[in-house]
Amino acid sequence: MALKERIVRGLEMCGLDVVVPFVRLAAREEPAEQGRQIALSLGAPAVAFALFLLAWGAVAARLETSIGAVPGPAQVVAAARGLAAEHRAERAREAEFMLRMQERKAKAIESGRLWKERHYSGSPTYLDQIATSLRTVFAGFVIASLIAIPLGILCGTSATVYAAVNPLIQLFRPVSPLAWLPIVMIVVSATYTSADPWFEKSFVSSAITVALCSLWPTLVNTAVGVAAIDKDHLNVARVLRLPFTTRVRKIVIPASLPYIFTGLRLSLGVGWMVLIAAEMLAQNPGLGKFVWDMFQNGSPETLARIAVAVFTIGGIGFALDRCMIALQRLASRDAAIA
Amino acid sequence: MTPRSLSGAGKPLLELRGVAKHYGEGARRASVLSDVSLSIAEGEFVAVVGFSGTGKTTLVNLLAGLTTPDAGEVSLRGEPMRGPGPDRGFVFQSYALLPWMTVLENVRLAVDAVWGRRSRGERELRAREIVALVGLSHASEKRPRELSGGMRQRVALARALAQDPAILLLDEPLGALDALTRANLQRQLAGIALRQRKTVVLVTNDIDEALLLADRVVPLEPGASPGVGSRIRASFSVALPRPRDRTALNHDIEFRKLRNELTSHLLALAARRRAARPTDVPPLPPLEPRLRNAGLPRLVAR
Repeated sequence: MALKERIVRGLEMCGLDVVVPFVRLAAREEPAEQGRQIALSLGAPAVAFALFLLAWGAVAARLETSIGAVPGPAQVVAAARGLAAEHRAERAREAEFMLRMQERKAKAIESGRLWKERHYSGSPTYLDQIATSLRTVFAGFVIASLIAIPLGILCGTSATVYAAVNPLIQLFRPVSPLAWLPIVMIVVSATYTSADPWFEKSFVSSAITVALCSLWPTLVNTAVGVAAIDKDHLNVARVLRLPFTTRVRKIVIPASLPYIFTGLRLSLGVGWMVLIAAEMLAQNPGLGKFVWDMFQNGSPETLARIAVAVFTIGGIGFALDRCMIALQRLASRDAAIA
Repeated sequence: MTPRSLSGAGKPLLELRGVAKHYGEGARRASVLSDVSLSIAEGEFVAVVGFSGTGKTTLVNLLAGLTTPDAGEVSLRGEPMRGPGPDRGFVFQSYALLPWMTVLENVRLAVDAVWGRRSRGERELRAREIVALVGLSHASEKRPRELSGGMRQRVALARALAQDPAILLLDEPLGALDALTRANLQRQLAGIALRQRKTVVLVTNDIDEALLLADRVVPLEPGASPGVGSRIRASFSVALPRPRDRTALNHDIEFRKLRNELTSHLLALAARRRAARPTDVPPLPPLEPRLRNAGLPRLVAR
């Protein structure tokens, strides 16, 4: 019994409330009620999704474009399979290449010839693009958090700082990534000049653009959270004469953690949305570039593949949001006022 | 025991001289304290009693250094008070426990702040000792939300004691507790105060509690007119022998005499205040609507 409750609590913590009725059903707890819950939380969305697919299929069949008919669900699934197959084929080619190179290297060393290491230079597959996008969005998100959380704490601690910074926040918050990107790209190419760079320039510009657009929700939420800290909790720090760093570490950050995580969740959502636009414009490898390349080559598969990208972007955004909800709940667990 | 001179015996450790404090400005200006003087001797247990809204919390915040007076002077050991410090342990009315920390961590926060130079092991040991002192060893790994009100109160007291303060300031520490828990904690508090010989200022609205615990009871008297804040004009010494037993005290003639005196003093103050403000309730407007045109239906007010 205790185990069941622990599983249920864990699932709820992770935002997987959908699975809870199944656990309760497995424990034979009010089967009728659990059935109703499952019908509501899974049945209704399933019906809506099926209706969506039907409507999509019906509309798509009637829409003719310059590069062929708009793909229906079946074509999109086929395109997704095709992309997966391409990925496997590319990996197989790479493995083959590496094997060949190793053989040649062994021969070269044997015969005493000079050997120059060569890298495989295949084109990135769809899955590579997804990985790049995720890396970029996380880089941008980390930069944004590193700026927004300390600045937010400062704004929340001092009304003067907040009054001073607030107009700037309001001014820059609504700026589109498309406006930031050219500036960021130019500045990055002027300042980021290393003979052996750790990251691609395009990666750096996209990440910074993501950071510039996504830091605002975290900044504002952190400031609000810090300003809302129970005055008595701060008085505890005053009575104990805690040094600034201890006060921030032991009181300010834990107390405002739920707000900070709400901000981080919003930031990650904004960042993911911004990323696609940034990649498209910066020609940074990633999902945005993939969509742009498909648009440019105008093959009969174009629309189906872009549709695959649309679902991928949506799915990943959804998954990221779920992860952040789980973290947010975890952070809020101890913050209940006692 | 009649009201006697304001200063306690011995040299004052904490002193308020002609202190005034108000909140708000202009039309919303509310005077909380006007001309409050109080001196507390080393080792003395003083209880400040008064009705709610008389500025008891403000008074104890001033003693802690959490607020500064508008006028007058707060001094600690003869020196002007400069902000709060760990030599004055404070038990907040709301307890102000940090909900993300366990009982032990809450106490450790205070131990670390004061004994920062000692080794980790020593500080850990000290924190465990203090938790044991308030009888919470079994709950030391629990978080505040898992505790009852009385247990939370004991954690708050433990945190204040962990600072090893010369002065303990208690802001209605038992106000939110049920009668049984309250009596139990009063006994513990009396025991700790007696053993550790600390100077204690207890703010309370419970006369019995004040008489049970304190050497001296000081009523905070509300101002006679709305613009005037509270002041202190009387002081009652409680010369009952310690340890005091609650049940036995109820039959003690001295205790009953004191309680009657104090109660009638406070009631007289309340009556005086009511007399000074005969129109606490604003006059109601006339119920009859004034009609410009008699031809209109009577229910349509202007």
